[in-house]
Amino acid sequence: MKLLRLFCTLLLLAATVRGAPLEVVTSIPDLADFVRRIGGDHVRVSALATGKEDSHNVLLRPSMITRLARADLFVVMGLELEHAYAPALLAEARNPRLRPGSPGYLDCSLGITPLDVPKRIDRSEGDQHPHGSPHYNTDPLRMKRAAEAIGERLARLDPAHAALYSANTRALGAELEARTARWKQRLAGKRIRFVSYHPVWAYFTERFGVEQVATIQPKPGVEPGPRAVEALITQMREQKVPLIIKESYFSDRLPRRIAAATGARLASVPTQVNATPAASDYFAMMDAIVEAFAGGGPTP
Amino acid sequence: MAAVVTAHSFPTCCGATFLHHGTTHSPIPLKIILSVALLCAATPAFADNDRELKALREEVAALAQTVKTLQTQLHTQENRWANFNAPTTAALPGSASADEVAALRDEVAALRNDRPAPGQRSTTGLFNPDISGAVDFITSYSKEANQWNFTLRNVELMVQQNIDTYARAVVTLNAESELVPTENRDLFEHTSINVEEAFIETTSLPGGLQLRAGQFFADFSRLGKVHSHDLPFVDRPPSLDAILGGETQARGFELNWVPPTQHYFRLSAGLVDKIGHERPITNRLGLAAVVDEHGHDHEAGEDHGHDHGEAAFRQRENRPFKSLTAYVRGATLFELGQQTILRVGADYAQNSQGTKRQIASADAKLEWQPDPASYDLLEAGAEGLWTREHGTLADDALPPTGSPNGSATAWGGYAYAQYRFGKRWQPGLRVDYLHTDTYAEGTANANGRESANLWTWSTYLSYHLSETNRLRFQLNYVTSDRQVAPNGSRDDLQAFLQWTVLFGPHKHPFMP
Repeated sequence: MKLLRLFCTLLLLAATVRGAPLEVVTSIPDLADFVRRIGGDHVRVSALATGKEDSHNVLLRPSMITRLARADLFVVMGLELEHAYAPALLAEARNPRLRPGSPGYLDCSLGITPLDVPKRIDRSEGDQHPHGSPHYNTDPLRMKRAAEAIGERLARLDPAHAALYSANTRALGAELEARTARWKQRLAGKRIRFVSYHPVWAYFTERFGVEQVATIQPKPGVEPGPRAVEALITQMREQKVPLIIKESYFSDRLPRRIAAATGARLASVPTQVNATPAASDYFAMMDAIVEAFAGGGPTP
Repeated sequence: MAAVVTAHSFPTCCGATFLHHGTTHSPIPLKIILSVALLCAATPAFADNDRELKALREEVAALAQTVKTLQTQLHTQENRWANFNAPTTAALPGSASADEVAALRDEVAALRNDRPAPGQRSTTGLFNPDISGAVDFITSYSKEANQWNFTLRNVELMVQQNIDTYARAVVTLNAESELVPTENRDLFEHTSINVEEAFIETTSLPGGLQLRAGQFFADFSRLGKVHSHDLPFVDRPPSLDAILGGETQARGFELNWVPPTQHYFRLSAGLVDKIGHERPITNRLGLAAVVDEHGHDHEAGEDHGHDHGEAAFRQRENRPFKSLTAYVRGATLFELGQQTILRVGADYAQNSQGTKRQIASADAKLEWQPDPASYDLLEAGAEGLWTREHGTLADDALPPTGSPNGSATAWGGYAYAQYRFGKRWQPGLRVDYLHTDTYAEGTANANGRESANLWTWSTYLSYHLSETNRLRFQLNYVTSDRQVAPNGSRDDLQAFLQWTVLFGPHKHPFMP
């Protein structure tokens, strides 16, 4: 009986101590940055990916499992960006709060309209995302919707601070809108045509009106052979494409060769927060991306 | 723009969707408002107060009007979106800007929670399980045997799905043949499709526990539980193959536990009929093994380790509890900085099925990613194994003098290192050593005991055409103090060319 009483007391104590910060894990650092801005001191957040790697190719670390095992909320980009590692990690973490469909699992892609939805699902078309491209983090206004989803979910899990989360979400949304206007202004009046290594720019091109001519990979995830490289060089020369965008996690060997053959400018660009030293948070990352398209930015 | 700023949809059990509009006016649906209002109206405290009731009714009517307005706006947005066919940066003539149109599309998508799906799918189809497969084709050559083999080693079909909130099921059908470059045989020709795995595992046990039941690859050893086509090399390391007897296929129960601690650790324990698909080395070399329920001895050299066949099936009937195999494995991982991970594990298994058999192993694997912004990866792994079997010797293995009881032991291990250069190329080296100390027919020395040593040196090169298509070339140099080829040679050079493809959503669990 004493033991039962002690157990009940501990349970009550645990319920009282529930005022501790929400434990949040996100798949990529961009989402962690948003959670931090919205949740402030009331959340403790970390990302699984470092930001430097290809977001499909994340080295699995044991701390990922222990963090997920304790987490109250797991935030993902969705659209199968995390399909290579998140399901196995979640299964091993055995945290029922994070089961997809539960309040502790937030798929931010549910609030946005995907682009690049394949008409036909076929592995011969490369590494396809059946529901559309998951790389919408380069569109600040779609990310505004992700921020709203995060704010709502934090408020649902921690109603005591709902007003703060709501205010921070509104402030972040306003900042995203204001910065988007400035980034648009930076790219306005230029007809920017480019070739990228991997097809991750659908959302950025739609938002900022730049024009993607081709990709170095002939199909998503498929490395080009010599003939494909020659065909691309010919196409770039004919169409006078002035810019090659290399996502920072790809080797610069082949893009350099193509740049030398075509005279195009080569820019190495972060596609996630922390991908490069300059991309220290979401706004800094977008600054670096916009600057690379506008004509500045680092070359590899 | 519409007043709706946020929205979520909650699917109900019958598939209908209940829209919850977070608006600048009110997030409460009409039905709930009416219900609350009626409930309030029925309360005596309010029933006597006509003025308050009237005010409430007016408020409900106002809210109903707001909801109606929002619904109209939603329909308008949907119609506008439907007319907006292709994604474009251009603004509609005389209409909203591209940003507004894109935002509108997002809002409608969020409200409908309806992602454009590739093609029409029926509701029934959505509940279909994940189906994946693998084909593993190997060309092998043995110099001493002057033997070429074309082996379709592995044809696998895996079906898996969550059964409900509590459990998940996995079924793997497989047709697998042995890889023996020195012999002209392809067991695949005589093999029907077998159930390699068919198990149920829990998904909701508390405290980090998980229970598995059925036929599965026991969580034992590092590479023993890896499907053949997923190994880092073409062949299973000879020491592992000999001591465990192929993959760690087992039938029974396994409980594993990942405690909710700061440091990751996994402890597994199982009670199964056996571990290993094929006969272990100690069982092949002299010991009389099991006694079936009729009391008949199965002599050494018979296929009593195999699952198939009536005789093998009979062995499972009326078996005493002590004849079951019990095993335990502990494994953990250490992060040595951001880019280096060390995995370590240790196992022990024991059974007394006719003879007493023990297996122990310890393993480690290091992964080092020199630059996270690349696909380069160094992997180095090693495993040491030991097994001992003690019991009554088979008649034809009896030493000239002494007790009919005896023991056979084997120990050894493998070590390998491979480096992935970018996404495609992955060369590697492996060394394997196996020592056996057994009673052997005919060649027994004065003590009836014989030892043998087998070294296998390998180099291999994997070429990943894509994530699901891999070519691999491997050279093995095998040397022993015993015959390793039909011509009596004590060494051999073997070559392998492997082509492995995967199809479907190929999922394997996290393996510490």
